[in-house]
Amino acid sequence: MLIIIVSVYLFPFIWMILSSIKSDTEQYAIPPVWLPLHPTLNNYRSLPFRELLNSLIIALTSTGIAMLLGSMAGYGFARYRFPLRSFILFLILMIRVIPHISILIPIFLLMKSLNLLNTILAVIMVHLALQLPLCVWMMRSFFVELPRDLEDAAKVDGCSSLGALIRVVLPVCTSGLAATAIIIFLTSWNEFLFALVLTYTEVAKTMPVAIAENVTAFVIHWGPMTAASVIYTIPVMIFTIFVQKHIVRGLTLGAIKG
Amino acid sequence: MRKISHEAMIGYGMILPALIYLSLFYFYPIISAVNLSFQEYDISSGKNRFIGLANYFSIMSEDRFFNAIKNTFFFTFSCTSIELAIGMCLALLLNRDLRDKGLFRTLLLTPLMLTPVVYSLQFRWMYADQYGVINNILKGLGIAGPLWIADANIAMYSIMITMIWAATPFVMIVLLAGLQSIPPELYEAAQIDGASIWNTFKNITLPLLKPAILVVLLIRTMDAFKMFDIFYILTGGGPGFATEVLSIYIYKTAFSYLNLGKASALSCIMTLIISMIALVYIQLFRISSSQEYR
Repeated sequence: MLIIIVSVYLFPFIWMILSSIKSDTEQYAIPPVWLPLHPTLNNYRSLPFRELLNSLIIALTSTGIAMLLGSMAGYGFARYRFPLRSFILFLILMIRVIPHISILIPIFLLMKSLNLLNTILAVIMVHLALQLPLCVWMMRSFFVELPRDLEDAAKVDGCSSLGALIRVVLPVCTSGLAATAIIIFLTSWNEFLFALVLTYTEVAKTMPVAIAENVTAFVIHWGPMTAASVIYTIPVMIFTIFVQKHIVRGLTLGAIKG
Repeated sequence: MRKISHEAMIGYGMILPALIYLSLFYFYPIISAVNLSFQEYDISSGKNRFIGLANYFSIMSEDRFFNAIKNTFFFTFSCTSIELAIGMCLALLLNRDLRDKGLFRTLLLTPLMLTPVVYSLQFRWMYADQYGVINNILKGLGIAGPLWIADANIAMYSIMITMIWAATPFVMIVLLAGLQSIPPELYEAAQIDGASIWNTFKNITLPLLKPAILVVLLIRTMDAFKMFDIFYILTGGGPGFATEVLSIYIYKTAFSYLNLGKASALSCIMTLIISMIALVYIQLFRISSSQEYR
């Protein structure tokens, strides 16, 4: 029973992989060719390497900075009391309510006036803004779960607050850090709208935009498109299979009590 | 003047960088968007002219706007309910002690990893009417496959199928985690008392799952309401305006018609609507939490 459900579910994905190795004659064949008799790697020849690199750089950089700022902020919210704490936290949570479309135009105009259109820096900055609220929220949840005894013990031994954070709390929190980092990385890796609007040449374009460009006004290049999609997806997929425990933990945080 | 404690200083210090960055990228654009919504902005000359509420009046009088609203609401609430139902079933299925539960769960997580652009394109490929795989399978069964994307009556449902396919794993994961936190003793007690399956589900499982369900509802509703990528890739809002949702309409107004003032007004309206929906859900959450008796 479950096997049927899972197969149906994974069908689009499997079909994508199969399509990527079909030659054009088999690709458009009616009735459809299930397993290509003459598999070819032709479609992989025109991979947009530059865009792939762009996506990687953007995702890694923005994730790195987001984890830095977000963990610090999350720790501040978790361990320190200050006026307006809940209010500010609520505001950060409410950011998720804002549709990207709403801030798209002002940000586009902002980047235009800063002469940052079509640069990797602009995309990094925007992705960082998209990642931060989630990062702060998740890291705060992880820190709140941690018993204070660890940090108190560290302080008794002479650590400063920041020292306690770095030396004691973070090492214990690695699974939380991993979960947050993965989800944030995917947020940037999969982002489309801002990348679409802010870039127009391969200097700064990201893979999702490049993949979508296989759809021209006349014809859709399914072969190269599925090949690019496979390359973009498989590494992430393999990686996440290994860390899926962390992902599940990150996703379900706050959804259940205890 | 109130003295700020040492602890508060450190607290503020830690949140400050993130806070400043977020203010720059959310606070400023929102103000700017509201400001723009009251203007007529000519992008070629960079000049803007203050026109007050004219943008809003023009929006309120167009059919196209209300069509977009209708499409968005229909899509959002239909998808979310179906995702909830299917996700619940899947979670219940996976909750039993199965041998390969981890494997199934991993496999079902796949759509979560995919880029929306990627799976939308993939579905578009499958939905193609002549050489698309779905219609070819149907043809093999003797059924004439419909024009999934080109038929104005069906296009929205095709998009919904894609969304549901992509989002149900998330619902399933959260609900599964919730299910697993229910102590088995409750089920045993119910069994001893002779409760039927439906009764057990209604009186034990559902109430205890309420927080998880509400969180899932909130997140899915908001995400579906804002969805852009799937629509852009699958139909671009067409055929005609059959699948034009708010996000697509705003995008077109801004980047095809270059009417930035009106687009800003539209996005302000959209933000308002989502905020109200979110607040309603949060209120429901608060009410249900306070009603719980342990």
